[in-house]
Amino acid sequence: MDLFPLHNSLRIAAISSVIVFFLSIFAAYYIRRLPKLLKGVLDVVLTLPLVLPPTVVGYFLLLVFGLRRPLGVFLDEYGIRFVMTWYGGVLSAAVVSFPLMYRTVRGAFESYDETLSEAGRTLGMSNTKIFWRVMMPYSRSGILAGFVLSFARALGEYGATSMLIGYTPGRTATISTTVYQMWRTNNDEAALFYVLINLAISTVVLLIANLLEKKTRRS
Amino acid sequence: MNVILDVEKSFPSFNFSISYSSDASLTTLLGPSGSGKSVFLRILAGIIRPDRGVVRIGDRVLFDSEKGIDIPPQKRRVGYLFQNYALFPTMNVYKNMTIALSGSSKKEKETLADKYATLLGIKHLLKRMPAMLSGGEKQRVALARLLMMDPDIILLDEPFSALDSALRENLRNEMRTLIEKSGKTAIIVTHDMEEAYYMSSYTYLLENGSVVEHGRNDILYFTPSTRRGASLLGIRNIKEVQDGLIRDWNIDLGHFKHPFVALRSDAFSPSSGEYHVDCRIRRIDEGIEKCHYVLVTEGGSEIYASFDRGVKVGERIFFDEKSLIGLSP
Repeated sequence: MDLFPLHNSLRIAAISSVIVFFLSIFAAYYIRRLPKLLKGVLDVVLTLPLVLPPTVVGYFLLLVFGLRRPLGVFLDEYGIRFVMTWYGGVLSAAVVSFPLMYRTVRGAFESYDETLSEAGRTLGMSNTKIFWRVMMPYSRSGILAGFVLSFARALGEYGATSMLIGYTPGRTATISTTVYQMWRTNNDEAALFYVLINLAISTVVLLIANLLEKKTRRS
Repeated sequence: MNVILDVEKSFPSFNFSISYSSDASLTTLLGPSGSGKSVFLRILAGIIRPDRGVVRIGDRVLFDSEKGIDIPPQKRRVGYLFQNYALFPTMNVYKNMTIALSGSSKKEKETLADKYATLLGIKHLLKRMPAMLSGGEKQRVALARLLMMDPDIILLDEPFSALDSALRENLRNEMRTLIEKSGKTAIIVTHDMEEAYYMSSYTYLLENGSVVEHGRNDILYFTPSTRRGASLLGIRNIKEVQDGLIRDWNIDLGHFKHPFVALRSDAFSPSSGEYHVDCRIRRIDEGIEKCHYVLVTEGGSEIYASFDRGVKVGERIFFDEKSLIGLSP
């Protein structure tokens, strides 16, 4: 059985969740201090991909990065093409899974006790040190939960991905697009194979998440 | 060390405008909640930036709006003991104490932590997590942590409010001794008068973001000089004096130069004194040692008086001239 979809899905999910990890922490950190109105607007914009149908997100991505669109043409000149490439899948997975991580991290940062940072500053700790040594460990269960959620979402992403990168065996095929393709072409056995793989990965991911959560709670 | 804080800062709900200067090694800021006590400490520590003014500790200028000086909290050498102690919950006590020491070797950190842990009697707690500590232990860890940074001044924000009352008195003693031993200047914020009186030698009374009155404890607490000050210090009998007359009580004080007069509730006697007021008892609140009376004069004005238990109180109470506290408005 062709294992490329597994390999492709894993790398897309891994890379996209790492990107989402840093982006959403960065966004959550700065947005939480903004004035209420601005915060509200940004919250809506950044959460939209969570509630929009993934095909709509895919449509928007094609609108921006399509090969006949200005930005798509511009990027293409530098050899960067998000349409019909596997790293286009990273883009669509990142956009769709970003809100999950962003909202969980925002929640974690909002319950953070600001006096801890104040104490750190009066003790002479730099803001960077306070962030990495005090604030991040304090919020770690929320951040971990967000990371796992966004990884799982990226792994299962179908709608936006299939619109942006389609299904090309050996090039852009992911587990979810392969399942659909196999089923559509009456290859039930292959479809089931990928379904089982997906089930296995998701179970492992959730188990790890639970273990990590228990560990944080114990300490 | 001389501490000067002469600043203004407007907030959406109130204006903070304070002129403070104290040489006392232990000064208290006393005031009800919302009076700006914590804002004072936060401005001094550099956490809140005032709109204008000057902040100086000794000869170090920490903030000067005109000269554009604003030293960040990291460099102010101000030790801040937060009300909730602000221990980092994900680190054990040892790590809490040493995390801020940068540039020291492991050995140096251990030596320093050991010294302060011994001084504060927390050596047996070094491996514990903050969640496993009692309130008093947390406080000692937080104090050790800030003393290790060798600050020029220590700020204590309601240091005893999170502790139960039996512990409080012991710790008050201990804390005062510790601060005196460390030789550091300290400013203590509290809303508890007893605590304020005991913990310091000089007090600033604050209300609504401004200074009502300030003075040495042995004077301020016994003879405040303003009406607001007396009221903040818990004196409930404050009366207007016109031409030497307390009209409400029908008493002629003769030559009395202040527009207001205050009388503590324990200034009254049931049997003898230079002046007397006729009144009847409206309510008695029985306390453990004293009974607190609310009395009403013929004119309908209330008098708050407390007498020892078992003392018989009739329809006339007395007080002496020496217990009169003259107040300005």
